[in-house]
Amino acid sequence: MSGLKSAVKRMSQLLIVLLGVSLVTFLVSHVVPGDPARMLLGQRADAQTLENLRHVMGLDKPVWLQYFDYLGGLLQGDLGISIRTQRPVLSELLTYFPATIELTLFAMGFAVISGVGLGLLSAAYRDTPIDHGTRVLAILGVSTPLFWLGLMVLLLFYKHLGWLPGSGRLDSFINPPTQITGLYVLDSILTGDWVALKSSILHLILPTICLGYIQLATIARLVRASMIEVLEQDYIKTALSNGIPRYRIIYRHALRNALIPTVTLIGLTFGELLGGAILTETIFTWPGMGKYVVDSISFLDFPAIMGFTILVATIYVIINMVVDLLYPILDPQIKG
Amino acid sequence: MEPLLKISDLHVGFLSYAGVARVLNGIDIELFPGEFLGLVGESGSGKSLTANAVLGLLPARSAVISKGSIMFEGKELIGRSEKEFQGLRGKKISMVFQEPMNALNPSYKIGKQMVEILKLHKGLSNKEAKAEAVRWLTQVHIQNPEKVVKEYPYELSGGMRQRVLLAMALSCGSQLLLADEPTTALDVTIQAQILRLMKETADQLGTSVLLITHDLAVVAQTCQRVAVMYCGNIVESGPVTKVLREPRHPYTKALLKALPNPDSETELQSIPGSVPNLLSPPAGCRFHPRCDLVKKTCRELRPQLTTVSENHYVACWREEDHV
Repeated sequence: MSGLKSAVKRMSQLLIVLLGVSLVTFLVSHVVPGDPARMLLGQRADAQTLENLRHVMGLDKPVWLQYFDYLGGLLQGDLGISIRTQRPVLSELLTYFPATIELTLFAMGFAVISGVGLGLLSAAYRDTPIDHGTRVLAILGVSTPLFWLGLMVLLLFYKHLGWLPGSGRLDSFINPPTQITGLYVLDSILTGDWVALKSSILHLILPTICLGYIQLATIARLVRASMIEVLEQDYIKTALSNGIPRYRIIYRHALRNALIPTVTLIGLTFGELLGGAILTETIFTWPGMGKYVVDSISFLDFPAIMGFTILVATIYVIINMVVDLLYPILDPQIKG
Repeated sequence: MEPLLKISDLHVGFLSYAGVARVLNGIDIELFPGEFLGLVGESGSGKSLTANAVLGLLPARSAVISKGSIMFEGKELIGRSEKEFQGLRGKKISMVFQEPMNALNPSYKIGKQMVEILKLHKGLSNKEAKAEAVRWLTQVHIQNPEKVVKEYPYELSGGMRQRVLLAMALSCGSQLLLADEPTTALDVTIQAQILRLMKETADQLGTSVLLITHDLAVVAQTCQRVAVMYCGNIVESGPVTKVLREPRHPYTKALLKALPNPDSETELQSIPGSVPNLLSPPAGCRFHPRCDLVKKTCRELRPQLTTVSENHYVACWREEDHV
């Protein structure tokens, strides 16, 4: 019963958040100067045609009425029609979605695995050169702008060294694997298409590193701090005095307790990565939602921009719900 | 009889920015098999540090053992590697700490934490270790041990947790138990229960116990011998009855006078002054600035432990005057 109740509570929280997100993005996109109808018809269109199109698009209605129209559509899963491409926004977004998710998941995996690893190393070898090294790496990560880092790795690994591809998801002469999930790596494994697998992994490396690096740095710092705190606890002393080897104390007795704050951060990270993908996708011409939304912004394509925002917000809220559900597994004192 | 643990002339210093703090200044302790030895002294006198030194748990980067030896079962412990210490800890020498509330890992069930050590030190299978854990919980008088092994630490009271910790400490057959203020954090009725249990279990298994406490009443109840520590030195040691009834060292006397006594009409007496700064401890006897009976020698030379009667040792220059 309490499980059902909390599920209902979480769902209603989700709805409230989405309502807020839709309202804010709607208002923001409608107060920015610019006329989508004008964008569509061009500078030389006459006033009558412009008026007609504005009427067709509903742009002549009061803003609040436009919002309710939009909300009505949203409730039926209709994100509107893209002004730029004249296709439904939802299906457009879904076309680009797998590419973004693939990149985000890889960046996430990279950030979490290396972040937790480096944080652990840092805490275990506190105040030694290893710790100082990770600290420098982390500070660089937090302070390097993504666009700069992206250009630099492209310059080095793509242009000068030529080790890794710098754009797209696959080499141009390779056919994408048969679509199952839309994630090329997964699809090529499922279909046994090793050529596509190799190419898609190679294409993922640079964008993954760029996108994940900042988060890696934040995670490493947090893991280090919470590990150091946990290692001071009495139960670590008990474990030590019972003769449990140091490596086992670190990965078994301390890590699990230190991960609790980290899991929160990882949940937030996912949202940041989805947002950060916009920049990364632009730099590496990655055909994902980020690139789509940038193109839409330059075209004042409101429905597309809002659709993207709402989709990302929904994923973000869902991920954080999952994080909430993870707490009781990590910390038995928290009851779900 | 050979002592199980023999600490002689142990000097431990801590490096700090202000210099070296000489926290243990040449202490001597002997503990015989099956014996309960109380180690008393105020906070900061070096009691816990002594226990940590025995287990090799001194902070490696700041603590320095400059002199002395710690013999356990006739073998030197100082200079052993971390790996050798790991083999001793929990298997031959165990420790119970002051704060039971936080001394068990909050993320694992009681049974799992006990099983881990049993598997590590006794090489038992999972199933055997589980049975052994239940048996040990029964041994420390925990009701419903089958249920408790499946519980998390937060589901147990402080007294229960201390019982579990005691069971864990003894479960692999340690000959020496270092109990660092094991009852200080518990309320008085539970304190008495835990002490009784410790005594009963240790007597049954023949375990020697070094009981660290600042509570003379606890010593009187449980120990055969007591060593009084002041500022990194043992100032007096001997059988509990002797030391508590006929204290010889001015510090021990002052400690006993500072015990509240409900029948007494006189006001409670405190020891004037405070524990000296260990970065620049007083020369000679470290107690001399607070001592009523101080004389010239006390300010210049450190007194050594000397026999005053059978097994009763005192480190005080005033003893010369009695002879």
